[in-house]
Amino acid sequence: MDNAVSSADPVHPSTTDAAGAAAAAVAPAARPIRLVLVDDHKLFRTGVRAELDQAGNGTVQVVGEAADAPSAVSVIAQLRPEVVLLDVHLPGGGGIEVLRRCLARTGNTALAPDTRFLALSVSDTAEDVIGVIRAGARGYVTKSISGADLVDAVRRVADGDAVFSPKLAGFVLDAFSAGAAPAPESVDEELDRLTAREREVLRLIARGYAYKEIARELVISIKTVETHVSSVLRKLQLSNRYELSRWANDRRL
Amino acid sequence: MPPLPEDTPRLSRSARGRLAGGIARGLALHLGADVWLLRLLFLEYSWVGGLGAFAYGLFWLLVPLREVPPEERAAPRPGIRRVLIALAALGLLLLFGLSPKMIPRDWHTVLPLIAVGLGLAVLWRQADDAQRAGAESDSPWSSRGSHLARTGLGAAVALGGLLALTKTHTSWTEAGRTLLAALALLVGAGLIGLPFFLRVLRDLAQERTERARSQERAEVAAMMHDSVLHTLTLIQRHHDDPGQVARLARAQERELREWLYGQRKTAAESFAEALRAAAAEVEDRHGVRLDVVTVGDGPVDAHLEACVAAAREAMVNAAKYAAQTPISVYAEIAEDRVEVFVKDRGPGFDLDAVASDRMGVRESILGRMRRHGGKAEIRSVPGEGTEVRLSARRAPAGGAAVVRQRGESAEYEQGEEHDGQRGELGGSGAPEYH
Repeated sequence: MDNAVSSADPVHPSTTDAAGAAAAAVAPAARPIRLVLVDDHKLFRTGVRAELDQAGNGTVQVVGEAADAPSAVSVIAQLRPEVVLLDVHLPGGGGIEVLRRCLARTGNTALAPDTRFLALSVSDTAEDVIGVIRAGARGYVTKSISGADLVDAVRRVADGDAVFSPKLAGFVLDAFSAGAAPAPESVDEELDRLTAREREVLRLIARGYAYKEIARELVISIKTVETHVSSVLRKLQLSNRYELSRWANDRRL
Repeated sequence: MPPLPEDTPRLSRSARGRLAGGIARGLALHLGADVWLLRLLFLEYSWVGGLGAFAYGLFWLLVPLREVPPEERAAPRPGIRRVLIALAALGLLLLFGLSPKMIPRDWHTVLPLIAVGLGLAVLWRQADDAQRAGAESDSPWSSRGSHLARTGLGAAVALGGLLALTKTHTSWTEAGRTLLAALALLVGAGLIGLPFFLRVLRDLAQERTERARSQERAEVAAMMHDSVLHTLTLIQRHHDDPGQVARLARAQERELREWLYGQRKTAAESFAEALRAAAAEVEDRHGVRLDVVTVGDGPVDAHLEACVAAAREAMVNAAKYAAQTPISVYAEIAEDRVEVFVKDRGPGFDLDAVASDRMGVRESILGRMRRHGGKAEIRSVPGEGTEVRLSARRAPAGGAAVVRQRGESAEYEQGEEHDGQRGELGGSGAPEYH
């Protein structure tokens, strides 16, 4: 349903991996992004693997697969991939369980502290989307996404940015709208409100704009767009707003 | 014995218009007889060895309580009426004619019996009401106090009756001892029966959840069979026509999503649903995929209806000229205004280069929005795609402003009718711009 937000942009001015990935648009990078694929449908895993190989042109390397939550946790702990493509509905607790067990800190270190998670699902209900984001995923795309957009979303998440589908942007605007009341016990004004700029960026994402187009429309740099989206992601994960809590509660978070 | 057909009217105690258990009313509706005649019969035969009261109690235990729908009510039947009157006469004959001794005249016995009967009737009726309240869940708190009071009263009257009954022939101490013994017996029986009773309760709960689950499964199976399997069959039949396959799959996906996560609102009460319905229609007709995202929602008035129609027109254009690219539809419904954006990544076009007299887009999108006090803007860059932006004011919740606005645009409302029809034709027939 949702296409990924961004299209490939060759002038990506980001950190280490991004430079490599940008170069990879022309030639395969020296070090591809190591990725683990978690989905309970074998047919789907095969399809995604083929698409990543084809559209990724060597920039993404699928190093492991898992079909349920417990095996996903052990595969991730063992392989320490940069990105995990995570299905929301999985046997053994779902994607949220995987996120919880991989990101939970025992003492000082988490099971996979440097791994970033991109949720991938057929569902686009608010509970699923908000639930998995609040559990720690850095992005959400639906399975109808094209191969090129998926590769781009993976690269973005690997760079530490957030990936918002138009649907997710719509949910966030809904949850942070003026009409929706903040939770009474909420104390953090900063977390419970979107800035005007963040709202503008989200609206453009919901309208189907790529980051590049958003930057042009608002006359800001792509980097600034990414900063805004990451900031929204942080608010989404930490805010106590009533709507968010409700949606997350439906997923028993 | 073969089972009765489904639509056979079944005897039930009527929840409407009942005095005690609703038995006389239920029978009256079922037989097509007069309710007072039946009540009289029960009362009369209660004096014939308690036969009427006994029958009434049995009916109460065995016949379910519900509201009898009008189509199950029998037409008045004179034959039944004659039979009932004959029965009443027979009762009178039994009471006074043949054996006058059968009429109980021992008031020390009869009055407590009546009290017990009344108390039991109140108690049983309360149980019925509680059951019904549980099913309908209408304000359980407000009636709770009176419910308890009535239950207590019923219990008191029944117990008083029993006490009086036992007291009649004996002294007070004797009666007290009898009551105590009865109480001990009750407690003992309760303790003995408790585990069995609990098990029955548990089994019942389990059976109920199982039934709910199997019902759900049946519903899913029906849905799968009716639509999913059907669509899969169609897809196999059309395997050589990719466009048709995509269209079928998309329509099925939409239906399934609606079934799983749908809001179940009608297009009239929800702008978002109206827009989604319009998008679904365009998807079906043109075999494209539209990603619809909405923020907020509200009811649809005349202006917003025009907005949906204009958005539909924009979607049709995008579907025609940018079918292979992602098409995004975004709507934001705020307190005072509505905005809709339809964006495609098609070839785009030069707006000024299109002759004004040939441009359906000018009439069906720009003109329509203007007539309804809204605004439409088309941005197209050759090679990058087109975005149509619609914005309309939303009528405030108060009345006066709405009336004035509608008065002003009354004549345009007429034009809108024609316009809407042309939009329909345009959708299925001739291309509208380029």
